[in-house]
Amino acid sequence: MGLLTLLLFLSADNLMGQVIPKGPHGAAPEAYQMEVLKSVQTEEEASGQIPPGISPKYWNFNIPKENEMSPERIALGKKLYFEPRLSIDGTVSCATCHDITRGFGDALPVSEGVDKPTAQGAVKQFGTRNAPTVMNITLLHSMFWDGRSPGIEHQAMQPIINPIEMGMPEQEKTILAKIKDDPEYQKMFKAAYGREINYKDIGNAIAAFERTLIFMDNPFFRYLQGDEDAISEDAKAGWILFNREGRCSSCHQISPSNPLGTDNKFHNIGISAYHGNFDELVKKAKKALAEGISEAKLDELALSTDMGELGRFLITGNESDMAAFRTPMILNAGITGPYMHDGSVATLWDVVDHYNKGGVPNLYLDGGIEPLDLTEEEVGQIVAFLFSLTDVRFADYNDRIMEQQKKLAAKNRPDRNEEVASRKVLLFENFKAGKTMKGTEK
Amino acid sequence: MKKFKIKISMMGIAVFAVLVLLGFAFCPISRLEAQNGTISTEQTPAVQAPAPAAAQNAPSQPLQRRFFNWGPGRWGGNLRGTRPSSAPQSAPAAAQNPSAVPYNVPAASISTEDRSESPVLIAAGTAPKTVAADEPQTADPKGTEAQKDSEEKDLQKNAFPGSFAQWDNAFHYSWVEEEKERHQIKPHADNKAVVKITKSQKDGHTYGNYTEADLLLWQEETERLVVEGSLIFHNADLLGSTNATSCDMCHPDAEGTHAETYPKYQVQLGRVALLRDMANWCLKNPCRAEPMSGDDPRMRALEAYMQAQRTGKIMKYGKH
Amino acid sequence: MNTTYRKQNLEQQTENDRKSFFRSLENLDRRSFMKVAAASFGAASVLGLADHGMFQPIRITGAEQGKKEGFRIAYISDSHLYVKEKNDRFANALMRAVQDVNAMDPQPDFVFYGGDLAQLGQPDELQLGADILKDLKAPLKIMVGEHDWYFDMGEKWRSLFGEPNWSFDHKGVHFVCIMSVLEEDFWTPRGMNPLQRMQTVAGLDNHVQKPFTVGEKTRKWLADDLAKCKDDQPIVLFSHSPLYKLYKNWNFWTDDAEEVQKIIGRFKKITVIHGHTHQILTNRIGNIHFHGLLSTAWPWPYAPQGTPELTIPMNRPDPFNSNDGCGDGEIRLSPEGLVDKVYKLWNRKSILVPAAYLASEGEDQRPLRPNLPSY
Repeated sequence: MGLLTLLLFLSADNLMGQVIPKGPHGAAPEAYQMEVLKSVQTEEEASGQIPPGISPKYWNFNIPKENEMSPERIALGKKLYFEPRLSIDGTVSCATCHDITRGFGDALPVSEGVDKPTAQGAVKQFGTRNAPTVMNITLLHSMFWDGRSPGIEHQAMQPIINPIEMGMPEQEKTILAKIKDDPEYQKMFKAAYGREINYKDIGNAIAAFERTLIFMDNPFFRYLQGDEDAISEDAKAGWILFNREGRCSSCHQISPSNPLGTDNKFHNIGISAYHGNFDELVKKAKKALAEGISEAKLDELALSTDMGELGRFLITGNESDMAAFRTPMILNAGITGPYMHDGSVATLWDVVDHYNKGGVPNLYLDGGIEPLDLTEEEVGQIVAFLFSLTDVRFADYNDRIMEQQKKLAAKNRPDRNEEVASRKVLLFENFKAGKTMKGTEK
Repeated sequence: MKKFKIKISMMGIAVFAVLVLLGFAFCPISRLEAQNGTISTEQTPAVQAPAPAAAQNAPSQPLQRRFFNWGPGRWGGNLRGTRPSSAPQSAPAAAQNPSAVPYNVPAASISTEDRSESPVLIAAGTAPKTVAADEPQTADPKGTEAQKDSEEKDLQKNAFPGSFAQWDNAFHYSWVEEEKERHQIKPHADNKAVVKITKSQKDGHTYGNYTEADLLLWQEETERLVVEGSLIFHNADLLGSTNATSCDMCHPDAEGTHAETYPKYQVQLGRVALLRDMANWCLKNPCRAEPMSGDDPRMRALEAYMQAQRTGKIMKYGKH
Repeated sequence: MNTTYRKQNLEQQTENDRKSFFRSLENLDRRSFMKVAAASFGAASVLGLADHGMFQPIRITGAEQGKKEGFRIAYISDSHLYVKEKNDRFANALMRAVQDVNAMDPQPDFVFYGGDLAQLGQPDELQLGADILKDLKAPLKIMVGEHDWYFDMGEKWRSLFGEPNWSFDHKGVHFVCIMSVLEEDFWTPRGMNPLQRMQTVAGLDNHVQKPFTVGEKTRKWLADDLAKCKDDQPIVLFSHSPLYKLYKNWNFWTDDAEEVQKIIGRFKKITVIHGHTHQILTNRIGNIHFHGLLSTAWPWPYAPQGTPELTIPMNRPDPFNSNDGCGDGEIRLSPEGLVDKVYKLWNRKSILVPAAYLASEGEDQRPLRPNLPSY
């Protein structure tokens, strides 16, 4: 028993200085997460109040009329969020990959879903995308890295039927099978929506709950409100760089009504081009467009590992959207690593390095990203600013992550390329069509 | 009574004559060496080293106005900036406390014969105090009073930046004509209606009584600022661009600047912007120049030009 | 194939298809979403428009299949290079364009460069341009622009690229290129030195310079060159200035345009491809089709007046993206020698302006209209 505790201790992260137990697939157990959530949210926040300063009109714009907030819907959504019976083997709930104790994500590059039963036994499955945080998502204009979902209501339904994530088949009967006979659920659904349990309302309720997960109380906003000591001088310098030399504010737009730091648009900054077979994927995609392929084939292509790297293109079919992904929000960036759509960028230093060198050149690179010629000091200042965007309730966790990332960055900075960043060598100078490659390789 | 009157008037005429003669002797306009010649776009009439100007400023010569006096040290972008070096540096007090040097004061009033006895205005509005060259100003050891006064002066200046800026390039005109030849500016508003109305006023009525000469004056002075803006708009060096990019490369004749749509949410900035904010963004990004403060004479001129080129368009703030 | 498709431009039809099914997305789960999306892609590809890397001229121009094959040429234009240390963006953009063209599969028959390689006509700028263009896999044919010429009146240009006027025949089409940015001497009376002269010409809105002309000498050269061509031979005429009168204030203008048009007006299939304007421009005067070229360096706004009616202006560029409104493109020749023009805007949808659009004076196959006003 003691050994188990010791093992648990060794395997736990520290959130707010506490030892966190680990449940299935590496997430904290649902009950534990619910306790943590209760401790960080006030009553008003939990009931879905609008944060101060945001235009109520803009806030309510994203809330559909059919799913207006109510205490019953929020309570139902909360229960469903932590409900592992919505997965095929009963081990994965929303909270598995959107873990309260891990920045409402899972601190992994890509997410682990239900195990796949094989002849040799259960095999772990990993998806292809980094799990975005569910904090503050009500202000986003679309969901998923490729924006294929118009709102939270729709998005919440998708992981349930994803074969890698929660593994349910696309049949409402099967999805509801384990919970429809639960009297608690029957009561709550009636109270919330006045109808029988149905799949769509699962999405609606989870959306109502997720809209209450607002964590915008960070040291930087306190500094903007007048507390000069809230953030370090480096962070203050980083804020200026964010708006000027860093060119960050054009895509990571941040304004009083939109404090998230995103323009909700899709940009190719070259992350997909890191993968050696990017050119083949593009060729495949263009061929598929020209020839006209069957639905089944495209579906298979989209869900398979590789083609997902083409991002927004698979949704719109516009060649200009090739390998474009949505600008993520920067709030709480400190605790929502690793970064980018495939979690391939480990630290915030690496993120800034990536932008500093103008991304990875490829034929669809967004012209807005370009070498910035930032000094090492300036890079550090922008990173300090980004870490100051984490909600104060997770300050200890943030500090711990910052130390971890600092150690990692001190050892190795794989995305750094000073020649290109300082514009001594131009982005496309060594680029050869058909040979898209990692920008650091000389 | 009559005798007295005549006496006064004779005295008056005599004094007046003397003053006039003195004035001609020292008048800056008559003795100013204006920088003539073609203004070519390659020659940057930008910041020159202060030393030569001061060196040329021999005691017997009046204030030398530098052509296009912008640059660091000006109040543009530096609200605590001192007057540029074209002001006489003769007073040693200037070295200790540059802002104590009087500006906009005709050279004649500064006695440069005896430098140690230069009158120095320490506090605004007080009588000049004679300060020995090597004597520290013990009355104000930290110089805080002088500093405060310079701040007050800055505030005065910055409250009315235009009143000083209009003199920057006042004493030449050829640049206006040359720039007008190179680049079209849209015509000034036609104010003839004002004269029509006031013609009915009786002579001698001052307020609201405008003549055609007045109209011409307004037009000439306004167009002067607009033309100054055109000059900067088309010149990468004057903008401070480090990659040889000027505004007209993307905005010929200020096309596409849309001055009539501000204030608006500017997507490139991610927030609400005024025209000058967007101009500064463009300075920073495509032009890789330093942004200017709103009071910078260059920014004022640029705004004047951009707004002038959009004359006649309907103002629609917020229009994307 | 349904003939009603021919009435609407192919891109327009696809846009409508896509819009109508995207409206019902909200109720779809992911699998069904992808299925429907696939159907739209399928439709797009059947209509033969989706990809621009693929070569499909015959379907697009709706011409009957003849024995001759159509072909295509790529173009890059108006790079306005400074040396790398002075301005890195322009050189980078030209490098990107070169890689764009190199990525074309199959490769074009040749690559045409539309002039204004250098910004101030400096020898090192022209040399930099020549070096970057050396990376092109396909053969290069290059035209001179005013920014290349007026520093040394073509001395460095000739040493690098030869004479500014040239012509040749290729697969039955006669390609001819003329120097059309000749200006009356404005610099000698003012005592300008070469750099001042170049900077005056470099200012688009600078009124000290004179309007572009082709000039009598080049007009005669052109007439002589075309003398041997029959009226029904397809001609493609490359010119830096537009060879019609668009907007004098910006030298979107050729002063002797009427005379040039008289020389070339007898040909039934004549297309003028011009640079200088850095934007999508489409015009038709008599039999003559006019197409503009995109720049790699920056886009110009549309002129306050004089933009031809047939032109569907391109989407308003975003200054945050230094490539927006810029790009390269293709000129596709059908077997009959008709020209379809493709504008490959970076980070935007490509725009196809087919010959049928001009032939029908704007009725058929209208190109895609952007969703934002142009300026």
